Amino acid sequence: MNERNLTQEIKASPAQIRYANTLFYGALIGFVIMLVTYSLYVFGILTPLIPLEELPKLWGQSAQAYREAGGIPQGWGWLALVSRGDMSNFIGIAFLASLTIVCFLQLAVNLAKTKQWIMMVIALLEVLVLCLAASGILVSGGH
Amino acid sequence: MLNNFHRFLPLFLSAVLLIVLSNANLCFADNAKDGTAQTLEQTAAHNAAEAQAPAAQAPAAGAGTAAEAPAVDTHPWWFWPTSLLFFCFILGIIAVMAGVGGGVLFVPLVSGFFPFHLDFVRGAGLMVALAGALAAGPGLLRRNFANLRLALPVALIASACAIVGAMLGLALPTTIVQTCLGVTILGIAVLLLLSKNSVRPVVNKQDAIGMALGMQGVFLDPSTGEVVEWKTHRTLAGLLLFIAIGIMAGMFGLGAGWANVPVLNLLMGAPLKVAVGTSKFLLSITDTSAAWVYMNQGCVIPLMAVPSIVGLMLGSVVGVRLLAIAKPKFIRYMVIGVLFFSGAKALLKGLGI
Repeated sequence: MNERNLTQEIKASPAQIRYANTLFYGALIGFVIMLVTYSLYVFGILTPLIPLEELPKLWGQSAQAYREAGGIPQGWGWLALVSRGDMSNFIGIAFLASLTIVCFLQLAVNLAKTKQWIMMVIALLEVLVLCLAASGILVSGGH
Repeated sequence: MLNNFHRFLPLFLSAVLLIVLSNANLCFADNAKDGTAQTLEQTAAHNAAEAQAPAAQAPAAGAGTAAEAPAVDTHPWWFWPTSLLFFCFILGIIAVMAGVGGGVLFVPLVSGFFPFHLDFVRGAGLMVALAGALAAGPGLLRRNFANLRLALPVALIASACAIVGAMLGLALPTTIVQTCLGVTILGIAVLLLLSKNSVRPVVNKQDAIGMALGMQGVFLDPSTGEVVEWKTHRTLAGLLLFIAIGIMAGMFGLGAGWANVPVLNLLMGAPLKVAVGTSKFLLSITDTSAAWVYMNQGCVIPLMAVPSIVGLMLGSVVGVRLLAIAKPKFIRYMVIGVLFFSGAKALLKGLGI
C-alpha cells in the first residue's frame, strides 16, 4: 500500500461522514425536544397523566405495577396521550431512539451505491432488528 | 493553586460521592419506615378511560406480588430527580476520568441507593448510555476512531441479543435479576482490575471472516502523529462473545463498553483507540434496541430519566476538562472500589440479606 493510498484511507469514508452528520444533527434536535418537553412537564404547563406528587408512590414498584396503577399504556400507546406532560417527553426520547434506524437506512443506500453488498445486507438486517424492537410487538411476561 | 488542585480533586470527588450515597441511603431508609401506602385507583381509572386504545396492553401475569411491596417515599416529588441530577453530574465526571461508560456505574449505584425500582433504573441506565453514545458518535466517526466496517457485524449480533436480554430481564423475578446484576458488577470490577489493554496488538495474519467483512482500516494517531494500519483476527470468537455481551447489556441496562473494549482490543486485535471509539459508537446501536424494549414496557419514567441523562452529560463535559489535571489512575481504582461495593450491595439485596 503506498503512502498516497494511506493518506486517503485515514479519512473516514463518505458514507461514514454522512452517518456522522445525520447522527449529530438528529441528536441535537432530539436533546432540544427532550429538554423543552421536560420543562413543559415539570413546570406544570402541560398537565401530566400521573400527577407529579403521585409518582414517588409508584416509582418503587415494578414496571407492571406502575403501568397498572397509573394507567400507563404499553408500546406506542403514549402517542394517543401525547398532550399530557409526562407522555410528551416520549417525543424526544423516541426521536433519539429512532435516530439509529434512520442512520442505518441512509447507510444502506450509500453502501448500495458503492456496491458493498455484504455490508448493505448487514445494515438492512440491523434496520429490521431495530424496527422489531421499536414495534412494541415484543412483550415479555413481566414480574 | 491550580497546580495543587489535581492532588485534591480525586479526594474531593470521592468525598462528594460518598456523601451523596450515604444521604440517599439514609433518606430512603427513613422514608421506607415512615411511608404510608396510598392507592392510585382513581388516577388509574381516569387514565385508563382517557387512553382509549393502548393497543398492546400486557398480559398481567402475576401482578404486584407481595414480595415486591414498595417502600413509599414521602419526600416532595422533586427531591429525588434533583438528587439524581447532581449525583449523575458527579458520576459523569468520575466515569470520564476512569474511562468507563456511565451505565455501568449508574445502574448498580442508583438501584442500590435510590428508591427507584430496578426496572426503571435499567430503563434510565440504557437511556443514559444511549444519550452518551449518540453525543460522542459523530465525532468518533468523523475522526475514524469508530469504524463502521468493524462495528456493523458486531452491532447486528449485539443489538439482536440485547432484545433477548431485555425481554429476559423484564420477565425474570427482580430478585434473580438483582442477584445476577451483583455478580456481573463484581465480575466487571475484577475485569477492570486485571485487564491490561494493548495499545497496538500485533496481528500477523487476518482471518478469513475478518477479511470477508473488510474489518481493517487506517487511522492517524494524533498523540504520535503516526498513521496506524490495523486488521482483525480471531473474528469468529469475537463475534460469538458479542452474543453474551448483547444479552447482558439488555438484561441489566448497563451499556457494554466494559466488555466491548477488551473483546475488540485484546481478542480481535483492534488498536486501543479504534476499540474504544468503536465501542462507544456500538452502544448507540446495542442500547437502542434494548431501550425500545424497556420503553415499550413502560420502564422509562421521564421524571427520573431526563435528569439522569442531563446530569451525566454535563458531568462528562466537565470530566473531559478535568482529565488534564487529575490523576486518572487514582480515579480508576476508586471506581473499581465503588463497583466492588455496589456489586456486593446488589448481590446481598438480591439474596435478601
